[in-house]
Amino acid sequence: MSASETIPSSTDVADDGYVFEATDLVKTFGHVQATRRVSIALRKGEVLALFGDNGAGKSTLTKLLCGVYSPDSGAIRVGGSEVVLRGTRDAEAHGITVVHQDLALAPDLSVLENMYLGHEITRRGVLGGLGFLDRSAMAERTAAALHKLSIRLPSVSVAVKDLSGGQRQAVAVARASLWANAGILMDEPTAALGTIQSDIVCDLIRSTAAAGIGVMVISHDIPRILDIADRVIVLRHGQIALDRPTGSLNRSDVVAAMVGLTGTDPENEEDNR
Amino acid sequence: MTLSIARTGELPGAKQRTRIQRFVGNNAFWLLLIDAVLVVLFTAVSINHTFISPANIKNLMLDSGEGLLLGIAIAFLLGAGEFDISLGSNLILASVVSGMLAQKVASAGIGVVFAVSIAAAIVSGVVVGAVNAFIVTRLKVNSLIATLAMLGVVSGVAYIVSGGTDVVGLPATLQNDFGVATLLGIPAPFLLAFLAWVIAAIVLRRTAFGLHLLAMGSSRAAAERAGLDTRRKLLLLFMAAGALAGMAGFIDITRFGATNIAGHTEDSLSAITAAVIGGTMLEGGVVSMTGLLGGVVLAVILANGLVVINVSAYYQLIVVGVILVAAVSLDQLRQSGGGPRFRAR
Repeated sequence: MSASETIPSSTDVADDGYVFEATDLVKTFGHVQATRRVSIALRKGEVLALFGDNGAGKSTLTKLLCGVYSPDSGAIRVGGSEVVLRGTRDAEAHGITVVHQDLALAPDLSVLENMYLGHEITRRGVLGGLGFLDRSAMAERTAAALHKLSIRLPSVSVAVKDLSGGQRQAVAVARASLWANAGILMDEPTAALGTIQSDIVCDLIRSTAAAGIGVMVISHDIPRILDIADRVIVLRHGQIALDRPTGSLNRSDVVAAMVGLTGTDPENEEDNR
Repeated sequence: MTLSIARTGELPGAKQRTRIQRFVGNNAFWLLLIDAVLVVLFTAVSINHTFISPANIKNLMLDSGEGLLLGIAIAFLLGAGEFDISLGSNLILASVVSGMLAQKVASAGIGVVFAVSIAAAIVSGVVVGAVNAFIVTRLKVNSLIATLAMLGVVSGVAYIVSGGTDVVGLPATLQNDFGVATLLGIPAPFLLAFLAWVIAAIVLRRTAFGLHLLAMGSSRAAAERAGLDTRRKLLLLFMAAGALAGMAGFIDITRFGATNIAGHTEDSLSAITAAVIGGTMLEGGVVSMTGLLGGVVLAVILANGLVVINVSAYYQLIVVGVILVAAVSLDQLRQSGGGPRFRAR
């Protein structure tokens, strides 16, 4: 990554090929066990699909992994050593970036400004001390980042609100990949998109992974994400019901695991009628 | 594979628009045009073309200073998605505090009088701004409500501190050496306000702080997710707005040699009007500093010009109101018209 001096660095920890390894994560709300001893690891360069019915614990798990929740028990390791994530900033510092469903882009700001929001490059010398922006440096690096992901926009100075849904999603992913040096968690990246735009985002996910970044995709869009995933994890009742390389998995295998017809589910009968 | 987002055809002609075309498409351009037309009109109609006389141009500048300072404050706050309608009463309190302290040190040297007077006005303004920020960021009260409450509170404090009457008999040096003084033929108060406008425009366009405030106004959630300390930035913004109101209060007493505690409560609304006419968005995220200047000058040109051509100045209120509606409906039209919109940013 070219913007090395401004990104939080986790290069001082050993690179073991994993973005994170989480073991036995438990999170309880009242008497609801949202996740029960979930172990999940994301490798760099892979696309991991996380499926599960509503209430299966996907979003709780995601929030545990990006520091929004802290686990009741269990551990998250980055580079082999255990880390405590107290917020998304902590997660980012450890190389885990999140792309939210609602994108979290400022619509009135340009693509360039959104890409660098909170990570601005300032000028050298006195002007830099006063917070003066180095727009040309940011534009150069934005263009490079977009190029690396094969995203073409008419101009990086277009306001985000003037982009289509797919373009916005692409910018959000590009922003995440610019600041993620290890992994990205994507929450429903194709939820609001049409077919062509979804395909564009899926291509983008592949090229992000090809650049060596681990991507975990939380989605309901099973067939589309199955096509691009290297590995699939299905959650059910807060536990892992399926964890397998995509290989010959098809949609019905995934759905079967989601509703408890296969896989390991200790209390599978009561709501499968 | 290579994918082309532009292929989906969502941005027709975005690249083809030139800088000039973009400028013609925004409110600031039309506003400056209206200002220019009004200047020509008033000049043509006024006897001996007195409207454009050096003396009257000086008047126009003098009348623009305070409005410009409050306009900068409001433009920044609107840009960040916040309101401040207490600026007028903030100005009044600052002028009262500043005036009373200036009286106390009247016998001291000119330097002391100015230092005390300016410092008092700015400190008073910043304190009120900080209270606004506290109510908004800590007590989580919407800034419109918070500053509506403070409009009353601060006016009340100003009346109590001044005993309900204007502070008069201020040291003459305030007027002679600043309020009515000129530098290179330009009134000192206007020069101060214009300098503040230039600095504000640079901060908005060139610095991280400017970018952050627009980001906060455009999407507070996005700004927070990007890791910006929005509470601290709001505190800074409200305090800066207070400082600007304090400076306006200082200008007020230096121009007239007395406070005008009954005369400024609506100043915030005029400032909001000027900013919004110029293309600053009430919803936040978009600020036009050029448009702000045009909007402030519009009200001043109208008020002054109508008097010069012997028409009641009250028509100014009507014309500004009509232009405000026209400007905002133009924005709405542009938004519902589809296609990319380009604004002065």
